[in-house]
Amino acid sequence: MSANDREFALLARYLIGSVPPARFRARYESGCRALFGDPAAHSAALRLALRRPALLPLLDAGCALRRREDPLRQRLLLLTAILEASPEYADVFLPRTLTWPKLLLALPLRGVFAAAKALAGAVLLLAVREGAGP
Amino acid sequence: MIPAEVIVVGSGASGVHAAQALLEAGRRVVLVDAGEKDAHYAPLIPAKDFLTLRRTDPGQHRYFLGDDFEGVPFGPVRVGAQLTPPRQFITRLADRLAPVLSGEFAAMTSLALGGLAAGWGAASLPFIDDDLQGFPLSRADLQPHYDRVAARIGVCGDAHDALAPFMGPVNGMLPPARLDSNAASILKRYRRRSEAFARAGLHVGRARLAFCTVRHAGRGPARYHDMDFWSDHERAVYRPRYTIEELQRRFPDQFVLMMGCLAGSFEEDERAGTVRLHCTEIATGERVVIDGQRLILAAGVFGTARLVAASLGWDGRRLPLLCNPYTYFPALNFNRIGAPAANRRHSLSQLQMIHDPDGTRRHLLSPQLYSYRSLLLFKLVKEAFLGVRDSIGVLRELSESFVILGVHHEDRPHPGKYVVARKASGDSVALEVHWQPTASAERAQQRHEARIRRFLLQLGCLPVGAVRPGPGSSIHYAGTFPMCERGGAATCTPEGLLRATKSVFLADGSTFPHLPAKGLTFTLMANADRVGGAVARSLR
Repeated sequence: MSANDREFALLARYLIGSVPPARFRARYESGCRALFGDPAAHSAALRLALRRPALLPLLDAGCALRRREDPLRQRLLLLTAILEASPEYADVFLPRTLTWPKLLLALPLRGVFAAAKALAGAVLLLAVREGAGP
Repeated sequence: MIPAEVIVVGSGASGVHAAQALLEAGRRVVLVDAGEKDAHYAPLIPAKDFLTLRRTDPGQHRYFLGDDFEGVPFGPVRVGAQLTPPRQFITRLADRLAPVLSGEFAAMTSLALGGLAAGWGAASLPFIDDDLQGFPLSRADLQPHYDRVAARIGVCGDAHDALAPFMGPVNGMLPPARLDSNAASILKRYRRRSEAFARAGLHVGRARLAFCTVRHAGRGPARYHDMDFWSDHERAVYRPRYTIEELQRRFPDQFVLMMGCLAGSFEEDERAGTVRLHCTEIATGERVVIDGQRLILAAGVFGTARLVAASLGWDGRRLPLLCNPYTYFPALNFNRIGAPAANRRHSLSQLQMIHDPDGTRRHLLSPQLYSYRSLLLFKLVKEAFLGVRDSIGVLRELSESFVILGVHHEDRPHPGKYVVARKASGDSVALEVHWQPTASAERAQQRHEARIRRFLLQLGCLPVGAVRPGPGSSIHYAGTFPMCERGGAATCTPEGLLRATKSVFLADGSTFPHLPAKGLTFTLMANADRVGGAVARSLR
């Protein structure tokens, strides 16, 4: 598996829990080329996520707070857009209605987890400096 | 050389209605425009509703994201972000052939067929006398033109709701558009306490839109596909090209349409009483000359300023510039959280609000409420301060109750806001915008926005931020050659005649001396119809 394949599979599995067919990978690569130039230009956060996939949720949350233009976040957003604009995965992104009681339970829990992740991710990003190498 | 009685430059909201008034008065018209079209994306979009497309069309990524991913924006929210890939043709050619140097001010210009109105949000709000302060016109002067334009384009709304005193009557209004679930719940809440809201200066009603809710003038009825930001399949939302099609059909012997031409300058022969327009054919670079007795410029504020400056040698001259400041508030509608929403809806503004902060009707604000769906979730995810995966989870659950309130503020001339023409290479002219609004105007806007946020809360909506895309973001430009009873060379008569000339009339926003907070497009059309009629009479 090439480095690009690994990156695509890692990000897709993180977002939707599975690896989409090859045509999505081709679309993702052409998106990277169109928007970011060099598809292989990675940030320290993305390199770390590729080496330690378990840290990806923390790095994603940390980038949302501290490094909103980081290539890791940008690639996640690009892949989100690609998956969303497809009949296979549209339902993952279409509105879901929850009842008030479920919302009242789910949202605060989700919020607490997200905040904890964001804090841990922000601390992690302090340790992951650009140029520090893989 | 092509002879005409009247030459009209520009196929946008103003140009086509000036042309129609002239043609209906029996005049021969040549309409000149660059006429950029989208032949790429429009054929890719099936005539189906948003949800069906999302669930069935394997080619949807091409028009939702763009073949070059131009629909996936990064960085801060910028002006033009509302242009989806199938709408980006509106500015593409202008960015290349007629750029405006504008620093932080976002000067969006168009050389497309239909101009900026090819992507118009269709809000059709007539000006009342209080809005027309500083204009040498009254509502009574504009009334027949509003009525005529409304009959052509089809304006829907409720003529008797809380907005009526701020809009005045317009003949032949179509039934209001169907409300989506979000808007219906907010309107219901407003109506329960409408008297209290009215005392506080807030008035809420159905959006008035150039949107055919019933069959009208060969268009509609709306099928509520929620694809209004992407395609014109329904032909329910008015676009100026529909008027052009009609004019070609109705006036084959009087009307000549010259597409693919970029107007460069004009010169008058005062003795002969004629005017000559110099154009360039974009595809070949060939020069084209058109002679007429009158010239109407409706090329948009920047296009018209460029033409006038190039023709009259106004190098370095400052022209005043107006643009409504614009802020929008994303908010969560608590009335709808957890409730399912109807699929069939339109994407345009659902509710129109008017805020009269001091009860004088002289400084109105005009917020418009939208629901968010057809612009896709990833654009919301990008703005959230949660990780991407967490944002998808949370926003999916909240997106049906997500609303956006766009707020326009009025704008008045000030020496710190102007556009200046500079001679560039050859005959061409470059425009530079300077934009320094006064601190007191900005303070007033902040004060008004604080009240709007409180109103949102009282209507059951929690604002989750305020987005100010920056100067120029309303895309409502005006004021470069203001109409007035008496003025200098760079002003217009009330009939639209540019005082530096004998036969050149302006029919676009250039002549508006003040910009009330209401969107100006409907009034642009009515005023262009008025100017077209005046030009026709001047030829008798």
